[in-house]
Amino acid sequence: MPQRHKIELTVNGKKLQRLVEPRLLLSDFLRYELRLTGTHVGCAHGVCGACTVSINGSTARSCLTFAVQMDGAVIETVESLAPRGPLSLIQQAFHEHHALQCGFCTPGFLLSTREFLARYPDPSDETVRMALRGHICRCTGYVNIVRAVRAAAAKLKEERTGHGS
Amino acid sequence: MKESGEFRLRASQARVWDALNDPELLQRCIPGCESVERISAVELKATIRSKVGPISATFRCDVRLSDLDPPNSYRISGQGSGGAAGFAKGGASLKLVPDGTNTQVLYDVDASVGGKLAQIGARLIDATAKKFADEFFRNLANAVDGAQTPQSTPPVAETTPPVSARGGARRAIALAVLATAIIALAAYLLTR
Amino acid sequence: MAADRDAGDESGMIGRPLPRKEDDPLLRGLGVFIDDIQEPPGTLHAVFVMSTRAHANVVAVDIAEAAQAEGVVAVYTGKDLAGRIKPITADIPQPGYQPVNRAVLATDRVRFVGEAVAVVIAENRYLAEDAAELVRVDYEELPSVIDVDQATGPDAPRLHEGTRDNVLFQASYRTANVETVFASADHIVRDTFQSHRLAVVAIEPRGCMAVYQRRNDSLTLWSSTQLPHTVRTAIANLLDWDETRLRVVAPDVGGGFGGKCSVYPEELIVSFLARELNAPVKWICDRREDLMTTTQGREYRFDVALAFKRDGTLLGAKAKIDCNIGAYPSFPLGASVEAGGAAIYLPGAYRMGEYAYETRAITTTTCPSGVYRAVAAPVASLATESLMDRAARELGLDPAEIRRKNVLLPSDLPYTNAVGMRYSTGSFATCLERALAHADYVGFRRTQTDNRLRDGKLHGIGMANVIEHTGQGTLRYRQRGIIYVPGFDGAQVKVEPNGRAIAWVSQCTQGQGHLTAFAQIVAHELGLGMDDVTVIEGDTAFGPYGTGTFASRGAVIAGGATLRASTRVADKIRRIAGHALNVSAGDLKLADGRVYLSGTSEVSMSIREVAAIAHSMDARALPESDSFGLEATEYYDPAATPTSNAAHVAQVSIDPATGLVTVVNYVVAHDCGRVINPLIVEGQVHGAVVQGLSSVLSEAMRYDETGQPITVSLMDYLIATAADAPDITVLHEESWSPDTAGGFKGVGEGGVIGVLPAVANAIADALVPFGCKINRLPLLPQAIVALMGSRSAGSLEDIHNP
Repeated sequence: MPQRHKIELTVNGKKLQRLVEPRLLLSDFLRYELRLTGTHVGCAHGVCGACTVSINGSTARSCLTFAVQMDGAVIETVESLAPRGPLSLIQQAFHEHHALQCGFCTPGFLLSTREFLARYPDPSDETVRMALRGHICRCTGYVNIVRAVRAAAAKLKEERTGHGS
Repeated sequence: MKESGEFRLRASQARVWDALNDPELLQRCIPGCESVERISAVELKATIRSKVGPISATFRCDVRLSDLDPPNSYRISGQGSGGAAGFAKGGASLKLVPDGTNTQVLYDVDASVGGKLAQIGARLIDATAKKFADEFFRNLANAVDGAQTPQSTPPVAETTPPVSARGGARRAIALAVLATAIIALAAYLLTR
Repeated sequence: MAADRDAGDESGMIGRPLPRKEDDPLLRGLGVFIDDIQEPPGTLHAVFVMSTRAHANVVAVDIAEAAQAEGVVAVYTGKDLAGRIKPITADIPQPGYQPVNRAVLATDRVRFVGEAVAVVIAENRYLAEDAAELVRVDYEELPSVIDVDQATGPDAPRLHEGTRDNVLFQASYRTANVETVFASADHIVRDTFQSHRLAVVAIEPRGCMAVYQRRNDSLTLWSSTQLPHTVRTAIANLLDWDETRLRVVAPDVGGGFGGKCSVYPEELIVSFLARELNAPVKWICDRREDLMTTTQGREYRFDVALAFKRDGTLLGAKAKIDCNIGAYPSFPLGASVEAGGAAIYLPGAYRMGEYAYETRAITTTTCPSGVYRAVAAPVASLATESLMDRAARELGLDPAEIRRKNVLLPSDLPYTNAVGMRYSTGSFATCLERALAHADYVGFRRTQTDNRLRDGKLHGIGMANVIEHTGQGTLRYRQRGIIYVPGFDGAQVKVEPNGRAIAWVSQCTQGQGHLTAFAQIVAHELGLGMDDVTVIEGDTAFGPYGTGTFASRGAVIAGGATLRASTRVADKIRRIAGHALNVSAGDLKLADGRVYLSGTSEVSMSIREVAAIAHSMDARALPESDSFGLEATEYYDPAATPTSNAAHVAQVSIDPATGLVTVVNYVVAHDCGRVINPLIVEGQVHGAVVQGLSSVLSEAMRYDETGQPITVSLMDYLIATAADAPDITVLHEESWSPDTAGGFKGVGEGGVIGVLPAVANAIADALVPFGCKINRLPLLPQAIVALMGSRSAGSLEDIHNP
């Protein structure tokens, strides 16, 4: 029986402590231990992006991260975007532009979009495509995702500056 | 996959044949060779530990010798099971051709790889196998070249980060894991 | 039953681009996919030991060490299960069909790398995987055959007992005058087209979880599937289990695309294990396993000839088709679905009287194939459209011109084609013109140079006209011999005492928006708001028996059933209200949650009040003719197969140094009959087009010469990302079907069909200066560079192993 290690971390704003086996993947820890099943596993080898979470403020693949590495870390998953009440602006844009179909890849896209727009608030279509190429979607063909991200960028700018672009 | 080629050793045909008959020497030359067990005059079991990228495997090899024509040529064939990592099997026909004071060793190898090693390891096999082969040949060349210093047990062969041509993977695995290991182990059988 | 274009349509829900009801939980991360379901306490985890050989006798399976490993509860081999679970067999009663069995776990022989030989059940997934690595299997290798030529060669091993050879299905057909037409034709073009093996890769891999109740020997199987009822019936038949004690539930499903459209051994095994071990048993496929075991598709060879008059009129076609269907036919669609469909689709959107085909389905020692989105239609279309472009060039016609000569015109309709498929309505010519106009085809040709170069890139444009047989019902499946696919679907629409409606529909969604589109139908008929309608799918415990969601049948058949059931409920609402308001039911309209007398707002009541009356929760009485409750169940089976159509125009640029193809512009003008939700329809077209592009330009499922699959990760099997996908323009036409309730036609797959020919033709157009023929897929950069070097593209192996 492999030795368990104690980790202390913050997940979606909540501090917690757990004992974990060294080889437990972060994706499995979030999904089974914490029942945060919004983060999905599409490939388990870091290509599809469905498992994307935010670790210490940057997006990362939870399928390529071990839970033991997360001692002291601050993690955010898709569930933190709109825990109660209305959808976030980016989520709303995805909804209005039909940027999701089966929804399996969507949480990853949302977290990457949030990080991307925070750094590049006024992207072109091409920049959006390049920024999101670390996520595979089999349903939408990406067309509406790009439209949703552009619309979200415009709305975020409106919110920030107090007027439309 | 099939591969033919040659390597040259700075030693006479007789010396090379003898070297290939020296089980201790060969075991030291093969990276990762852990044990050898003789089953019959022409059959052998051996274990070789190897690592291809993230995939570590202990290959249990069954080897058989045939078409013996000492000191000129023979054929060896075998199968190595790597457990969950996969398997490799194949054979090599070898000819030792005198060339002045040197010997040319001509080989025809056919081999196949299956399981995880073939599927995920393919892009890494080339680099690993090349390193494995380089190490074996370097060791063997030193051994037959008169440098008598016994070598310490070689470490488990590890891979370098992959820079592999797609086409070379099969050739390399045939060469390294089987041709060299099996050649060496089969040569053990030649001793009486 | 013909659909009426009634005047009330504009105010109704059908046709509105409403954002989806499905979205909220999915966006919040509250979707419940198979691996998200809360595991009951004591759930055990199954991991399969997969064959590493493509073709071998299984000499021995040593499970001793695995059975002793930490956390392991049991290990089973094929021999253990052979007497307990019957083999899967799709015996399609069609001439030329040879049925074969598939044991759920291999007993004495394996026929593809990935075929399961043992199953390990342990306390958790990690320990199960550890133990699975300890299972030792001794194989006696047999010769493998990986393509149709090897499998039909003189030394080919016979893969399945009880068969004559490896041709599991063959059929041929000819019209009366095909030879005459070819003999007298002015111009014949001919070529052999080879398309390559693809994996489906839904972003969610497969999985299932079985929960057994010993109390009444009942089972609930959660499965990421496209056909829950078929899975349930299969469990009943193959495990000798009373079907009334079985329930199959499709939870949120992360994409299907045909890869989840079979009954899989894992579903049967997990169900068996739950009863055997009296514990919940769960299995989740990882991506490598998925790329090795989920049904693949599209490995075909089409040898096609088209006969033309000098003026470009298409006279007839001949085709010889070989399909590599892998180690086992899938169930329920069987070995003939690809080969049969391939032949049927070739005539396409064109007027063509004479046609002859021979088609075969051939088994090989590779992963079983199934029905990947659009099945063989994209390759059939590739063959026809490529030859049409070549004929145009050779006859001195513009590619658009030769199509105008041959595409079906309104005056041709209704049209019965050379294989007896009837097109009642369609906008073939209109879609072609709209797509060409929107893509500025004329402008492109005007500025196109002979050397095709502009800004250092080679530019080309290509087009295709496609048809899609959607919403196939019972008759079509009987005709095709596919007796295990029922063909109908049903809907139970119920209004509860609070005046809100639930519809249990017998299909199941994998992202196609059923919960919105079908709610729109109910809301439209019952005059309710979208918030007052809930659609539930995918659970065999509720609502009628059905066929499932695949083959572009959702809108037509489930939509039709929902429409009919809703209409009956609406009629009852009107009867009850008429009685309560003392007016004629026929004069009443339903809108905004109320029933009101047409022409006035004075006389009305709420639907909620009507529902209360129907449940005897109101002082007012029912009309004598009616009983209590406010619901209706309808099964629907369309009278004929509605045919959707589309025109695709692709514009590409090619980097001559690297061979990389960029899709510069993509236009689809498409017609799926009456549209329920334009947003959803466009989304389906977008997704299908990009899947098609990905399958031509980057995806390739490869096997080595011994049958080892070597592209079993997403690092090797390359799927298009946002950076590879173009913006896509979708233009709508609506030719309502006279053959379906509601006038709906299907839309899920048509977007794929046009991509292969349009992009191949665009690439061929860009490479005209090089005089090469495009007849092999995929068109990876290396293949393009090889074509430019005036070598033929050769085999895929040649390209990857120079």
